[in-house]
Amino acid sequence: MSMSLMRGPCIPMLIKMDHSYSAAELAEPKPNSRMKQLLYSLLLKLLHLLFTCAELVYGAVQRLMWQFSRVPVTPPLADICANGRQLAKRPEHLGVILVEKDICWQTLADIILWSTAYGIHYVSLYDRSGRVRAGAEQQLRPHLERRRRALFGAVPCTVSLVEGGAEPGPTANGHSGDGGGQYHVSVALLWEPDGVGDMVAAARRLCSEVASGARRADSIDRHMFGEQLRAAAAWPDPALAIKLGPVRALLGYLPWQLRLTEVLDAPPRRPLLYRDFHRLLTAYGGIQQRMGT
Amino acid sequence: MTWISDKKLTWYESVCMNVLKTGQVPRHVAFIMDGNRRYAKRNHIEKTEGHARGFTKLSETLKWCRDLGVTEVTVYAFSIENFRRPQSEIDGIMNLAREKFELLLKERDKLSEHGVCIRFIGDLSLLPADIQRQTAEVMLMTRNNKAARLNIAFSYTAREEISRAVRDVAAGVSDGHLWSSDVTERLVEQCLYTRESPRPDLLVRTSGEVRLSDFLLWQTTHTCIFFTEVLWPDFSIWHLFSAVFTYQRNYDVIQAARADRSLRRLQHSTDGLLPGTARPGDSVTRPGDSAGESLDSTDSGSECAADDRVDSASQSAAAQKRVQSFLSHLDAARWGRLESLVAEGS
Repeated sequence: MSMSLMRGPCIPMLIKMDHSYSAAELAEPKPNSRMKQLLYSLLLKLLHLLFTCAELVYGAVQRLMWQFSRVPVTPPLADICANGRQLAKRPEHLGVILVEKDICWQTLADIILWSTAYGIHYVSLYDRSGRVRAGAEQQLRPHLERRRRALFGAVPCTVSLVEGGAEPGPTANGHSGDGGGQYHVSVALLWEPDGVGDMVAAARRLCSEVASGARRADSIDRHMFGEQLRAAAAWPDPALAIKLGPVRALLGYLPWQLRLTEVLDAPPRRPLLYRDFHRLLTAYGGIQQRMGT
Repeated sequence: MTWISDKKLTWYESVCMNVLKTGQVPRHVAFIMDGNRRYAKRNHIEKTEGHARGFTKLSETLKWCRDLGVTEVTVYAFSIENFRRPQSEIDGIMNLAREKFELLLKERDKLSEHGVCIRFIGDLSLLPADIQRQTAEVMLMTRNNKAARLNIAFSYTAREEISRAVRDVAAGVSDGHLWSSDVTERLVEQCLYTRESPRPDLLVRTSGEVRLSDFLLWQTTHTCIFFTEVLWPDFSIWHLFSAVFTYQRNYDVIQAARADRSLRRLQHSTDGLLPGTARPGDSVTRPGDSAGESLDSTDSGSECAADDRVDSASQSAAAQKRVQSFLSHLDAARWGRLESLVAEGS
């Protein structure tokens, strides 16, 4: 939902007065304008309250509509794969940034499996406080297994969950190592230390090498520094990141790798519907990057 | 045309500004000023004219930020990647830059009056020599202005900034000024181009693009990001108000994340000291040693102070002394290079 002041209030069109204030007048409130300050403060609080109420009402109405409307059925695997092939472009690495209070494990499992069906081989799940890492075994794996059976049935599909994304780990279907089949995806479980913390650790390692004489300081440039990072090591940079939640910040997600990542907001409905995922990937397909040129 | 616009606000703009100012106002706002060329195409004007109008908008926006009480602004004027553009366009941008930087030099008194410190951040060695001298002169001329700061990212990418900072730290280790165990997040941050600056509270990107394009990647991990469809030359005060309003609506949750991060870093740093940070006899400050120490304050400037406390908690006094000495040495070298540039030109 978007409520913004972008087009300005209607006041200027109705009242054409031309009184203007200088910066000096705006700088500090004079003692006799305390009432004015109080009024401005109340106005701002009222504005925020109105926005909050509008968001709550809109959210409640949306949830009611979802409850009484028919839930679109997730299409069969063949249709999902066809949708993936029709995309103008597909990210090699899809990031999922969780900035919401509650984790919907089914949504995470679905995003991983839909990405697999689209031919996306790298997915990173980021929650700054590490809830996804902590809940991977008890929460994510069971959902993955259930949703995998529902979508893929007997078709082999390999999902490798990896903390930090450095090495492939045991897979959701019980097989270890890289999936050699058509449908396989590596999923990095990331948290805050995998961001700036990873860069600092890399800097420390490089400095140790310089101290021991194994490396020259002037050999450090942006190309080699990137290769030193361990989070999602050897993975392509995430071309697309889907943000789950209303917070307008990335809260530490892979800052180095985020250089050219398109960041799109997922709709608020949980679990996320397939059509919403498809719309996000289609929107990504329509984005043109000029790469500075 | 001037860098310090004095265009007055209308009464309704003033009222809205005063209303917003009673809430949280970001101390440091960063802008990715995107859309000049698309604006030029849409309005059937030359690209260089589009960039010129973009500069006009920058001047206006700086005035609005000043009126709002924003004390630091960082703008992404030219990326290292932009050198891949057609040479004719690059020449046009460089000529515009020469003209505007010369104007900065002429507006020395106005800049002093408003206390504005100007800093050019980026790999300035990639720029033509005369522009390098201009930027050096402007930075030296305004270095003692303390009321506000304008960082102009010119020939900049965040990856170049971060890797250069790490290289500088590594050179410090190589020269014996630092030990490798002295390397902390705060130290690397103090070697970035934006050292001494608080992290941006708000990042605004115009033109509808939804990526950071290698801008302040380290500094904006916990920054409120506002993407807007409007092209930069069409950016209005209402778009700025909308961005600040969005910042206010996200303030609590972002500040909580920042505080949580500082606390987690402190816990990690004091659970186990890094090898070599402390030796028998070294005094190490731990949290709780200082009465009233708190990580509750979470605005961007306090976040840096919290990071300093993390380092103090985990580093020996000797390590802190090495770090301070190294940073002074690095600072002196940077100013020395600027002074040499100006001296060469005169």
